[in-house]
Amino acid sequence: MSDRILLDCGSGGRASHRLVADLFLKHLGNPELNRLNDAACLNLKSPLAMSTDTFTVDPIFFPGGDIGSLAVHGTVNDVSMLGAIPRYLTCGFIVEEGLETDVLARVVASMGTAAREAGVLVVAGDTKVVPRGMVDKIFINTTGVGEIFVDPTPSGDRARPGDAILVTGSMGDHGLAVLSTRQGLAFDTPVVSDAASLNHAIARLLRAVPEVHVLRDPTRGGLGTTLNEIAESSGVCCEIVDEAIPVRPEVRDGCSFLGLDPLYLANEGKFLCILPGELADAALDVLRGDPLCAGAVRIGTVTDAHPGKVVLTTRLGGARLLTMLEGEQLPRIC
Amino acid sequence: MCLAVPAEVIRIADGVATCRLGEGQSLIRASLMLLPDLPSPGDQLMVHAGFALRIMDPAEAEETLRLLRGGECPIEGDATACAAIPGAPANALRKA
Amino acid sequence: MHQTLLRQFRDPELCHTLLTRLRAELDGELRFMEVCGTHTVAIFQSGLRSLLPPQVVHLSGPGCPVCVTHESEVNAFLDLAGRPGVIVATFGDLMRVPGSRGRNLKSAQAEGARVAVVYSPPDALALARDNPGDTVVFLGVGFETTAPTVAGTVLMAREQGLSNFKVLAFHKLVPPALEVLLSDTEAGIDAFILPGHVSAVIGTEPYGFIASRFGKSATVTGFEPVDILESLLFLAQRRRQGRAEVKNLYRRVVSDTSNPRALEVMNRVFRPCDALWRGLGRIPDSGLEFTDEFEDVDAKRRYGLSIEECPPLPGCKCGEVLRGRLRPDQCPLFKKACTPAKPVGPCMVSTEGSCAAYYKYQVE
Repeated sequence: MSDRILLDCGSGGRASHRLVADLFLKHLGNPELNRLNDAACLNLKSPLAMSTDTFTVDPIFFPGGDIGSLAVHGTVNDVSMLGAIPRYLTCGFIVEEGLETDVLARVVASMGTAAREAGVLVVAGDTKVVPRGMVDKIFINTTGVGEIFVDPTPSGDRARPGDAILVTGSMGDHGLAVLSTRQGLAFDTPVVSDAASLNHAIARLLRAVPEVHVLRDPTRGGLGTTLNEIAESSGVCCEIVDEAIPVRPEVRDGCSFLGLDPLYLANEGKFLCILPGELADAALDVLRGDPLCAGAVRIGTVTDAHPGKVVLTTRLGGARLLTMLEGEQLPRIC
Repeated sequence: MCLAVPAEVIRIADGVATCRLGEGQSLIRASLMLLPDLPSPGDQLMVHAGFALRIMDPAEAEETLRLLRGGECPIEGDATACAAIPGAPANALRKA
Repeated sequence: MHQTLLRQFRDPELCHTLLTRLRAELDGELRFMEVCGTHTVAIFQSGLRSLLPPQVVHLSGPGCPVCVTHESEVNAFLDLAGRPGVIVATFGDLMRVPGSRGRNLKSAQAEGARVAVVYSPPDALALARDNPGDTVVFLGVGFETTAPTVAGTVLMAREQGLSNFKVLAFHKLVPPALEVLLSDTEAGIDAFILPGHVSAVIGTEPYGFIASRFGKSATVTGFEPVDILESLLFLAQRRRQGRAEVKNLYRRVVSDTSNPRALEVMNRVFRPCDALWRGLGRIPDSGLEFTDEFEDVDAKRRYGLSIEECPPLPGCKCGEVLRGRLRPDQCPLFKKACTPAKPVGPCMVSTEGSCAAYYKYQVE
């Protein structure tokens, strides 16, 4: 194989076949994928959860992860949030002509490792190579399906007054880790992305406490945005306590330097769990037994005080709104 | 209007200080070009947009907290400017 | 300085002691205006605002350089951003600020303009070094805190022989704007909290006229809750005593005299000029333009950009909000025609604008 990805690699001809055999099957192969049929034959019981997500991240390798593992974690987590065991993934690659073959191999190998750890099979895939400049290095789409094992499923519109709001660990690690690597930023931090597949932790939680009302992973837009979505779709007020929300000192400091709010930074390995208040302690016990959720804590309560709003009690004991962001957070000086 | 962060000088090279940000191990760099005096490692700088604007004075911070905790507030004297509020009693200036 | 020392300026217990003392000190309404947007955000974000005694009336001034960047100045940015061979480098703050026709740098970028968000002016210099075939134009906004950092970067560019680095400068100066606010007798502002980090550069002496000419008290203060409460306590005390005084309560960062080196750098590169402020209009000697020595860096001259005054936005009450005559939620457009997604006036434009802060933080 040449040391760079050429347009030929996406042509469907021999170059494409070599790429599939030498790279994709090597890292992602399994009996179903290896058949190389036009479609995969899946053995699943209904009802099913299905989710899709497209991953573009700059840089593609960041502290704590890369675009390949992220594309697996992200979709595995989205499927899991519906109370499902993720089983199968598909992946579509759009690769920029000229990308080093080694780079693609590292990304695909990382996907393979992440998929094995999560216990999901990649059963279908597609690769397109586009001329230089038409994408930035590599974009990956993953679609996942899983079997739902709770009824009713956790859902964003099921938060009820009296419910406890839990998070499974520190907020903002992924967002800050990625930002810190942006070119030109005079800022070095030991913070690494928290990107991880949460399906095993969620399965354990829901088997022990199936009465969970809402499960969400606060990815883009962070905790602030996710809580607002829940408050709106459930028609309730999420009241949270600033002091209870776990944020690493390095993330807090980095945010003060860049003028950002950690509660709007992306997380890729944490989730938010809303469930009847009396079950909070039981859920926290289960969660803390998993290394990915060791920092699980209760951060607030669902009430009917200001329906559709998120209200934060500050360290001083004051109250303020936590609104949904208009767009992405940008480093600012004022 | 102007976000500035305190950061502790770790080392200085070529007019740029590498500083520790807050309590963790994050580092930022700040040009010292706008400072009248060169700081030393251990000094705390106020950094804005990549430049140190001032060397902070920990004694002043301690003094402020001491006075506030002691119930004195704020410090009398050494005002930049002083005047009676129009319409206030004529002895207002002396009363303070 | 130990972080534990700085953390004490957020100590909830000390804050509550100060709040109790503030309540005891008040003998009527205290209408105060903070000039600096970072104070605005600090007051809301810490929750302090919801804890202030009802007699304390909090008004937010024009203290955000993004808010006060005039529509016509934004139009000039946008004009420039579309030109071939130009990479615009900007602080993230400016990306969503609309010009007079509702366009902003985000939309210019979508239309093909090359826009880079940088954290500091020297990052823009690095961009110029990496793109020798293009001209990198840094959008210079900000008050006396930021202007020296831009001036310093201009000196670095000259030293490094980077002739493809230009600056479109719309810096503003705080004391002349304060004079405009103080001359407005309708607003009924009793006291001011002055911008802490501007003062780190200019010192506290330039504010003397607030007490001597206008008979108002003012403090230079930091951004932690303890700092702000100390200031309010001081201002309430002086009001009760019938005294007007300008006081530096941010001595850990600010001295009464200026940072002479920062001013020297700023004054070598820039000289004062008249400037347009969004919501306030033209204020004499309140802006900065390049000195003759550095006119080759001036993007305004290089690209022949003209700054046209445009009529105020219909229905927008920002001018009155900035002067303290109106609270953001008293404007008829607030949360209706004017939101952070579609800001009409300057106070809704930036994260630090007073209307944006009301919108974002205020629990009804």
